[in-house]
Parts: sequence; structure tokens; C-alpha cells
Amino acid sequence: MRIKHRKKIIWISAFGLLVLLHGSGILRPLEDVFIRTLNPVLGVVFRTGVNIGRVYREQSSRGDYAQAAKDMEQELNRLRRENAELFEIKKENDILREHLGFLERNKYKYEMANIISRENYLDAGARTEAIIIDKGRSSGLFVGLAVVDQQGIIVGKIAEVKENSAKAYLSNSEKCKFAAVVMGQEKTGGIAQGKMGLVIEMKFIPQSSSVSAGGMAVSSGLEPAVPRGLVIGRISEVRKENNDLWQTAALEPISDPAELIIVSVIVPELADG
Amino acid sequence: MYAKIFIYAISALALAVFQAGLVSALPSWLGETDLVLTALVLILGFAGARTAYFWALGAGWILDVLSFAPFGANIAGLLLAAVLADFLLSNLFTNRSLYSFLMLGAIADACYEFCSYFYLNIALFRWPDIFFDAGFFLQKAYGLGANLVLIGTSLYLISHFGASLKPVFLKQESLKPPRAL
Repeated sequence: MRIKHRKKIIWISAFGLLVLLHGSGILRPLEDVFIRTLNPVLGVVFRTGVNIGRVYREQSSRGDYAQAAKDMEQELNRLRRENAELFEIKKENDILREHLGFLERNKYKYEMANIISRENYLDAGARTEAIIIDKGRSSGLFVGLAVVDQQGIIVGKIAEVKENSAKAYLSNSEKCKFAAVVMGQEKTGGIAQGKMGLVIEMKFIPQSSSVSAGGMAVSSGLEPAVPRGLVIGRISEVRKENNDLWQTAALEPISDPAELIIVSVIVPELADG
Repeated sequence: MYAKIFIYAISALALAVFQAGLVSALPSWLGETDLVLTALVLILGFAGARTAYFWALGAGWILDVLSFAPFGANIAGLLLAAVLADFLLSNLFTNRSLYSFLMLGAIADACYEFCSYFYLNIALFRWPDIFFDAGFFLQKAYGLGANLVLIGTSLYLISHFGASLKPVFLKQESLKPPRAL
């Protein structure tokens, strides 16, 4: 019995010692080397996971062919209606990209990073709202920087940084907020914040401003770490109540967070200083 | 002995990497699978408690280093799950059948999830708010189901390929009375 208790005490002590050594920073060099070594492997493994996920989604969507055919008929009608609208949006998007002239053209300093994991430790259901990337403090990253996809669309914001990795909340997360304006209406500002892991809401838009569906919300530049003019999402709906002080716009995220593999973190010039 | 330690260390590293990288990228209930915990239950059953404790400590440390959660959540959860599963294996589920492993897996999974959850809340000075959150329990139920499927499949594969582990799955032929001559 005594031996059994002694063994338990040894295991608890081993756990306590590990936590203590981590907390005091003694193990940090070892942990940093460990993460740096594992990052490339994790990147490849994560990419495999995303590919498996894509196949799974494709297969599960083929489940009921009869229902699928019926749905597709309705979908076709809907798509015909949307086609004209999307053509305009595509044109607008092309122009937008030209205007934004992303990364090189705008001379943004950026760090490209692989996503190595997804995590949301206190809310398992919201796991798709946070990513871990393989670049960290050693690459000049810090909390508050904007994370963009290959098209230059904001997909998230850095929330925590380690030496060789960083955690970012995606723009559909409630923990991710941006100061935003409606493109072309520089005085129509608000706060863009994720909602339920699905959409983005632009809140605190003054009642006097005229906002309509179809417009684009972009970063306002009020945050020192986030450059002005980065696309956040397309306005899909505007909610305006006469007795409210503010109006709210629902934004559709343009990129699919489930498909993200590589991202870029924009490091503004002030980071050098 | 060193070869065994090496194999366990490599398996802990590989499973932790797959857990953090691959499983986290999977959609729906597939993403709730816990490879490390499943392996812990199997190691406890086939290699003994001491190995399982060392394995829990090692794999937990790797998961904690890779994670952005407060350090120690995975180690604490895995160690406590191993302690509870070991106690049940020695006192209640002593016959090492498929059902025993499924029960052990279910209890270890629940223990791991709740221990790590409460550890995180304590470390972050938060009041746990899951008790009325049906989504949380639904997500955990998916995870539990996925882990039990994984344990069952692993046991079947082990019994199929490893001759020393045949007792886990009793073959029907062996229960038939010998034919009279």
C-alpha cells in the first residue's frame, strides 16, 4: 500500500516538475528546438488531413443521389439567378485585387506560413475557428497582425505567439475583431467580428450611413498592425432598426477556412522599429 | 529494453504529431478522434501500468508543447485517465475482453476530457460553463464514439496479426465440443 502511494507521489511529482520547468522557462530552448524540428512534418501531416477532409466532404455530399438531383435542380435555378450577379462581383473582385495589388505590389512586408494544426482548447466545437502556423516570434510576428490568404483576403488575426509558432483566430471566430469600413464609403466604419464560426458581423455602423448588400467590407487602417484596404468579406445583409443607435451588416467570408493550408502574415513597417 | 523505450518514444511522438496535425484538420466527428488516448488504453492493457504512465507523461508533454493551451492540461488529463483506467483494470475489468477495453476506453475518455477541461479553467481562472451546453456534450459524444470504434478496430487488428493476443477475441470454433470419433 505504501509502495503504491509512493508511486503515485512520484508520478504527481514528475508532472509538477515538468510544469515547473516549463513555467520557469528552463525547458524553453528544448521546446523551441522541438517545435522547429517538428514544424515541417506537422505541415505535411496537416495538409494530408485537409486533403482527407476534402475527400470526406465530397463523398458525404454524394450520399443521397435522388435528393441530390432534386436539390441540384433547385440549385441550378438559383445559380442562374446568381450568375448575373456573380459576374458583376467577379469583375469587381478583379478590379479590387488590382486596386489592392496585394503583397509585392503594395510592398507589404509579409511572412508566409504553413498551417500546422487547428485548436480551440476550451471549445471543441469551435476548432475550425483557430489555426496554428509554423512562424512565430523569431520571424517577427506579434499579437494583432493580420493573416491573409493567397488572394490577400483577411482570414484571421494573430492571438498568441511562441518562438517558432503562432496561434491565429480566424475571421469567423467571435474572438477575432477588425476595425472595418465599407469600400468606397470611407466614413462608414464599424467593427467586424466573427459570429458562431460561420459569418462575420459588422457592428456599430452609424444609422446615418447608407450600406447595401453586395458591398465589400475592408480593413479601415485604424489598427496600427493591420494595413488599410484588406478585404474582410462581402456584405450579404443589412439589419437596420429605427430605434437602434447602430445598424449591423452580415458579411460572408470569401475564403473557406477548411481549405486553408498556407497563409501570409502582414508585418507592417512599424514592426521594424 | 532500450529498443522498447525507443519504440514507445517514437510511437508517442508519431501519434502526438498525427493528433495535432492530421486529426485537427479532419472534418466532423473524425476530428474528434483521440489517437493518443486510444493508444494509452491499449498500452495499459497489453504493456502494463508503468509503461502506460511513462507513455502518458511523454505523449502529454509533446501535445502540451505543440499546443497553445496552458501547459500541463494534456499531461494531467492523460495521467489521471491512466490512473483511473489502471485501477478499473486491476479491480473491475480483469478479463481483458473487447467489452472491458471498450468500457475502459469510455471511462478513460470521459476522465481525460473532464480533467483537461477543468485544468484549463483553473489555469485560466475561469468558471466552467459547460453544464448547460448541449453542443459541448454532443461534441464529446462524437469523440467518444470515434474512440470506441478505434479501440475496437485496433483490438481486432492486434488479435488478427498478433498471435499472443488471441484471447481478446474468442473464436467460435474453439468453444465447440470436440467431435466424437
